[in-house]
Amino acid sequence: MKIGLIGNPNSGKTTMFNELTGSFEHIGNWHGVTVSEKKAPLITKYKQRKMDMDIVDLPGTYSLDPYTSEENVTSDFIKKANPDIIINIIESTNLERSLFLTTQLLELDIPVIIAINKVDQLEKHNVKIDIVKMTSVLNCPVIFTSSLKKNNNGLDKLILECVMTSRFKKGQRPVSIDGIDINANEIKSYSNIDKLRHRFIKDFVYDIQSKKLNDKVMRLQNKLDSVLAHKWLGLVIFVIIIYLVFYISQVLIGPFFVELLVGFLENIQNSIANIFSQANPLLSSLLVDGIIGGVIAVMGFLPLIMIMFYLMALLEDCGYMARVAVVMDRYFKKIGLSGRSIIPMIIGTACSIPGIMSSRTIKDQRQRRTTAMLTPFMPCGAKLPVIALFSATFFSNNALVATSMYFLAIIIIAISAIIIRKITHDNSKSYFILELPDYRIPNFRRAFRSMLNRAWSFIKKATTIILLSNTIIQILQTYTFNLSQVVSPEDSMLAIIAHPVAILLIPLGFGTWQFASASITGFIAKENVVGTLAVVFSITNFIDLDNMQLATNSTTVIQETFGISSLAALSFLVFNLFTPPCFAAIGALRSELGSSKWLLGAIAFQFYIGYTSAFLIYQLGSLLIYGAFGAGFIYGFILIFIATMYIGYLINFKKESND
Amino acid sequence: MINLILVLIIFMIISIAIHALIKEKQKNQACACCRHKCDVDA
Repeated sequence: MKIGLIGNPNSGKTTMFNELTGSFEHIGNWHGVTVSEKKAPLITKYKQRKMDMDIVDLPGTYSLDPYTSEENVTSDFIKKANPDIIINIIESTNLERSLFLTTQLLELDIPVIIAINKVDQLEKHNVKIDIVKMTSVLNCPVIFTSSLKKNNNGLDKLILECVMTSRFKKGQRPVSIDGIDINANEIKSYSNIDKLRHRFIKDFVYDIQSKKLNDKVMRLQNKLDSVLAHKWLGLVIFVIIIYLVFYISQVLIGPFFVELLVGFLENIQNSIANIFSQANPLLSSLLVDGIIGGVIAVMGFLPLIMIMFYLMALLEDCGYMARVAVVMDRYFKKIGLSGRSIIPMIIGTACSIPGIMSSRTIKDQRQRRTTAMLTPFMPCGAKLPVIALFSATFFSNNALVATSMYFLAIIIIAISAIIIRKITHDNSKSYFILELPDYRIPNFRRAFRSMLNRAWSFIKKATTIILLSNTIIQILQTYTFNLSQVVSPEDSMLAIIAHPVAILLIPLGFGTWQFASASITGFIAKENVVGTLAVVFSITNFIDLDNMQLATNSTTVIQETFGISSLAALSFLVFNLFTPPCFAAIGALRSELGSSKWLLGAIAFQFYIGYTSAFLIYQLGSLLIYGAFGAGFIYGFILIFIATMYIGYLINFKKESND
Repeated sequence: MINLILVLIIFMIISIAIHALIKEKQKNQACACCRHKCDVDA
């Protein structure tokens, strides 16, 4: 039996899906987190009469007439997937808005069961709902549910109702008002149908719901909103909160767990090194330094990332991130983006791929493509090890450097959005309506589960793609093209391959083959930057507190090994953050842009932005600190000048074509 | 002998990593076909 979960955005569909199927799909206390359908079998705990069921979670929609592509997924599912039963999830405190979709679902020939979700909110808001009356008027079962609870959540009753409904199938009856059935098939004018629906819903909700506004709760919510969503104060608070997230994860708590993990992994590495101490040094080095050392270098950052993801999940769950979207909206509108663009970008702080995918909630094609193109500029989880390494090694206030990378990303996104708007000559504006969820105490267990989920993905990447890359890097730097062992590292295959790229990087301050190879492998997966640096500089781990003292910022060992200045380190960091993302994210970008011309343009533009930002930081920084431009200024300037002229040509060329 | 064991271990680790990578890719491709969301969160 196939059961579809359908409802408005943020009505709790994915939370119910996770509870019913034991899945760990990402949920967020805001609109637009689910953008495609997900299917999983019902877990044994909820099984009734041994009946197998497949539960399908669908993107939230306000109506069955698709407006955006993710709403289309829901509409398509109903038309083509032939679900046996539809569970229509209604948010208990938002009946009036939710029932519009319900009236449409009741017109289909598919049995509908209504789940009034988030019942715990009813008491908080002093709302009472007469479900007996609701059942009789809508002619379908209505059940109270609370998917956040583990027990007594109404879900067993809901599934039992599904079993009963499937056994005694009966045709669904559309709602009727004044004796007229609201049936889209019979009434031709859509505006007339919608008017009828709204009229019916208004009267119906008045009949079944008694509401006493809890002034105290509302006043507190409004007061919080007036501060957190304030046009400039909201921005300042956002900066402080992000700073705190970094401070807690990278300075306060993170290093303690890093020390434990790295100590444990190092012991394993040393034991393996001892076992193979008599073996061929090249082979044992490949295993101990290349494979194990590279993986440890990346895995060492896992605690920092886990704590950061945990804090971000808490912020999302308590309803704060929706306020951030509102704060950013007024600025984003001015630069030709949709206020909705902030959502993919915030999702992109975990991983660019779901961030890029969620840009499909934006209706306007140009804004959608621009958002997908610019989302990878937000530093994702994979870039965190690079940020953590360079900010802690070269700068005393690492939390401040890490935070500033996020705000530099926002500035770069703003500048890029303006350039793209000028190139496309599309000045259309869109209006952003986001329903602000109520503030709530975040669910710590759910945030923990979300953190574990992301940590597992990180571990999978570290032990597959990064392990393989490090192995190849170790082999390439151990042998020459004649397959003989290298005498000087400069003769290695890796040095020779990376050398042409290194020349291009001289104007950015880090034109050595080691940094060039790290930048190249970063396109496979961004964590590779750290892994490759570990292999090429023969540093087994970066976070050994006894040897490197990274956490206490006495970092001369790594600084000396890297052989670059703090300015060049900042330039390298910026280059890796703002050049094109990993291949997987480029794949997601290709499918969302839907045009190879836009994809090539996006990659070229990301290279331009990453290269130019790093160039400006290194060269202007050199001028300010040392009184002279750094090495390679002239040819770096020529490269950027040519690219800028080409962008200027594109802007004017289109302008003339439009004229 | 110890070198042979070492080669075998390295070969095994690389094979497992490649196998896991291919499996992950196949899972993502299958998911893309039926429009299911995959575990793409980092």
